[in-house]
Amino acid sequence: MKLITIPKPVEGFQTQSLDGEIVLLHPVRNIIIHINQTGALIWELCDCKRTVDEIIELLSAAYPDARDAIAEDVPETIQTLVKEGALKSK
Amino acid sequence: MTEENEIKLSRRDALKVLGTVIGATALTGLTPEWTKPALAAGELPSQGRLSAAPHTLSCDVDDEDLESNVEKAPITVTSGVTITLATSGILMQYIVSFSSDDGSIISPNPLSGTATTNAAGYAKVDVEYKDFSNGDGFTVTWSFDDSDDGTGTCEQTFTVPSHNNINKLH
Repeated sequence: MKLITIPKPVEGFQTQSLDGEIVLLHPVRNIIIHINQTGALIWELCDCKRTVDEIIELLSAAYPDARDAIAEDVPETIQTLVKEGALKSK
Repeated sequence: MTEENEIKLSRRDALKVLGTVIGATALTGLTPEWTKPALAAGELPSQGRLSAAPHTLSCDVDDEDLESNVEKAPITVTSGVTITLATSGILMQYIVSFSSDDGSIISPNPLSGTATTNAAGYAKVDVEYKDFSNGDGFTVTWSFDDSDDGTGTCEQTFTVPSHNNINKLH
């Protein structure tokens, strides 16, 4: 699967935040996705404006000790959210 | 871009940006160290599904349309429906029916179809018509295309009043 450049949330999801974690609910498609805190950060940064590289850069600056992990985790998480139908390419 | 000109985002700036995205309060609860993102996805069990009419609906009309004049025929009026809880991507069904035998509706063609709600939970259909006489009109009935999305209907009746203005009765 080709990685998208600018991720965009798929319409129809309702979001519920709790202690930094997020639950995405799509009542029509009957889908529920629970995302932990760092995954929620990535989800929140997918705003149709930022590129994947910009998200990596931003999170790497916030967590400078985890640059390498973030460079792997962000594309992987976005890929998973695309696969689950929560993100698409702008 | 040369390395000298390259601007590196500082941690402080990055946290500022994150604060605007997730909120200052949420920022204070951020984990101090990066942990691997984890996702758990699944389907809602049928009894937990929000299928028991999660949405309600109400009809509305764009007031500007009410000021249209039949002498400018063909005339387009917008019939709209708003659902709550506002959700995008919900298919709403409309049926346009005549309240008189006169006049003709140019669009939509056919007279029934679906429109999709936007992020505000609003869906609309433009009805273009001509050759209606005073007192003639039509009704637009809205309902959920899929009963799992919600139940109920609402109607808007448009008539051509004696002073040639389109009016909404309901």
